[in-house]
Amino acid sequence: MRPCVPIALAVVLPVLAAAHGGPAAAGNGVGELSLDREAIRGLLDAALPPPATLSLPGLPDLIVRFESPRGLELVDGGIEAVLGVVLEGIGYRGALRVRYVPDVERPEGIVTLRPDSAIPDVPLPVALDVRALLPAVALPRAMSFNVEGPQGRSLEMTCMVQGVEVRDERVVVHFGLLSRRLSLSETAGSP
Amino acid sequence: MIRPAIALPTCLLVLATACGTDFAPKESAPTGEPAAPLGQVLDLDVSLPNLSIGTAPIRGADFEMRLDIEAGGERRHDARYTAGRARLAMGSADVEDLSDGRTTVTISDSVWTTGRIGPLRIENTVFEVLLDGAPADGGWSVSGRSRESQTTLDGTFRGWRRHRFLVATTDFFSSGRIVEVALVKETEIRVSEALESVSTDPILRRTADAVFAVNRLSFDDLQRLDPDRGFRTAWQTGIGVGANPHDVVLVSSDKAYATRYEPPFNDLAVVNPHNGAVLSSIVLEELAENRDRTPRADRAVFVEGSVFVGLQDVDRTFTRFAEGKLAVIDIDRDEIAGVIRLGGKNPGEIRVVRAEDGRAKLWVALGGIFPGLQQQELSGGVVVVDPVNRAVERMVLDDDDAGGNVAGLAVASPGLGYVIVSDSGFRNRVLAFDPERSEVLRVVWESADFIPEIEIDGHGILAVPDRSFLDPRLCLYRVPVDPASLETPIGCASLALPAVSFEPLD
Repeated sequence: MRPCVPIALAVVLPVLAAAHGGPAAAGNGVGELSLDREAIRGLLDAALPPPATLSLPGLPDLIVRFESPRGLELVDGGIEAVLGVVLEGIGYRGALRVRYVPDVERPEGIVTLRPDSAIPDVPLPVALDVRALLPAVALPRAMSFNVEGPQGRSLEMTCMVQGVEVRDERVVVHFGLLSRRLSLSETAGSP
Repeated sequence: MIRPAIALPTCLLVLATACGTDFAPKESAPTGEPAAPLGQVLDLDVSLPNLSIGTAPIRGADFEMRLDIEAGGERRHDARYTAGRARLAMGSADVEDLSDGRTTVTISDSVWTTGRIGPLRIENTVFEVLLDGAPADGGWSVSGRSRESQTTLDGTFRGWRRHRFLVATTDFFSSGRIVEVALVKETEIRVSEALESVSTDPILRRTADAVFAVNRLSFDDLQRLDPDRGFRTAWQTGIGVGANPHDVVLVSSDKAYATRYEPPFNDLAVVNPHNGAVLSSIVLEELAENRDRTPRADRAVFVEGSVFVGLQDVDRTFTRFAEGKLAVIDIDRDEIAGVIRLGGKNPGEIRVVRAEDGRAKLWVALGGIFPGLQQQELSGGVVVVDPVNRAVERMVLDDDDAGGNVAGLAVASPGLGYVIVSDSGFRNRVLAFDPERSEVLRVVWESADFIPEIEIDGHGILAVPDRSFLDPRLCLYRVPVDPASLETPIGCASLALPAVSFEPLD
């Protein structure tokens, strides 16, 4: 096996070594994507679960519904969002302060924002672990797209999410970037 | 902030909408059969001087035979034979096998015998053969009596174990193929092209009696090759999108580990070697000291009951290198059992070298920092690690003395090693070195082309790839017994595509 060799060495290799050839294991580069509060809100909102029906002893069926984040703070490396929560069937409507922390689901390697705690502003009328009802916000593992490269050649670019970090007033998504020159047949078949 | 400007709008769009196309492993064409363990191949010259052929007054036949000996069995092994054409006193003739092509071979320190071979037919003569001999040269050659059933008179036979190198070749663009280069009867180089397709970024790995292609970044899968079916794919399984697997090591028939180089994986995956399924993960982040906590697990070896994983400890941008390390893995608990600091940066090749007393040592190539994004830094070399005491014992080659970054390592014996050295002008050399004196002995090969790795098989054949664009080759040398002597060139195999990774099978 080879030691890590930086990309500048790989580019002296023939053809498209810089993309994924030779000893350079790094791919083409890395990047960061900063998400502002609106983007984070949209991300959390999109990951909210659909209403769930619960059967509890001695109670009518409960329908638990979460509502879009009303407020959002970035605190101590985590995201604290205030979500609306409704328990249909017993007429409860309140708010939850949910703390999401960056995590990786293993062994699949999915980067997530995992609900770490969920504290209601008003105690729930029933014993219910609402945190367990909230799924982790999974970021897409990889995305690829075609671009026109130098001399009109088609390149397939792939972003692979490598991590997420909450720092200062931003949520930063780290990603690796890989380029691959497409062959003629692949270009022809690409949407 | 996004550094690659081109990625900004698209990634933002895709992330915001949580859609996009995930990579998937390339479709494979598996055989559907479990992979057999790796056996050995012998080439035999069989002489039957008394055999009568047909009605003509012709006596005697010589023919070649290939024997594929399976790995299983203590002393007695199942084997398959293939007979070549027979040389007769007047001309030649086909040797036709009237059986199922199977026999047995019994091997010990002093005995080498086959079961019945045949019936075979040369023209109208049908006969069977038994071979009864003794191994020599540490089992790399064999000779003795050949007895045919027609006259029950003895002839002779000689055999040579084949030196096989399985080679992954690629143009890094559109094509990756598995090729076998074999040294037959210690003299003839044969190439079997296009045995199987692999990715354009493959690492070949022979581990115990298994052979894998590790298809790296963007392919992200393991491909187990079946020696009994001409190295066709038994299975090919993704082990994590973007995981960038760098190595695989088999520790038992039911358990393997694969290093996953890229974040967020940063781990050693526990893998089912029967189908490639990832069973669990041993996270290595706690051992990393760079700012991104990316351990960059590269090479892994299994020795003295533990797995040792080379950690390059490089950040996400490949500009900050911490000290290289070996993680020690407890294979019963699937957890980190320790860490060995290597005293240099960027560990690559790890070789298990046994001394005459049988004790194993790990020889680790430390690449230092290659020129490119940063200035060249010669902070490595080759160090010897005691896997029992879990400590670096000594440095056997300093990269300052080698004149460049150590990019590869092969060890012929504790008294003779070889390294690939890349200098500041990207000139690449294969150097022989004396580990006891920590000094370079000579230049074996020199090229402006990238030399991906070097390998030595179990009987002293050194293989060096020539990645010349016009005439890619794999060149073989016989390693000298006396380190002061020169390597003996055997010849070069021409390849359709340049070699990027290869493994000795014998």
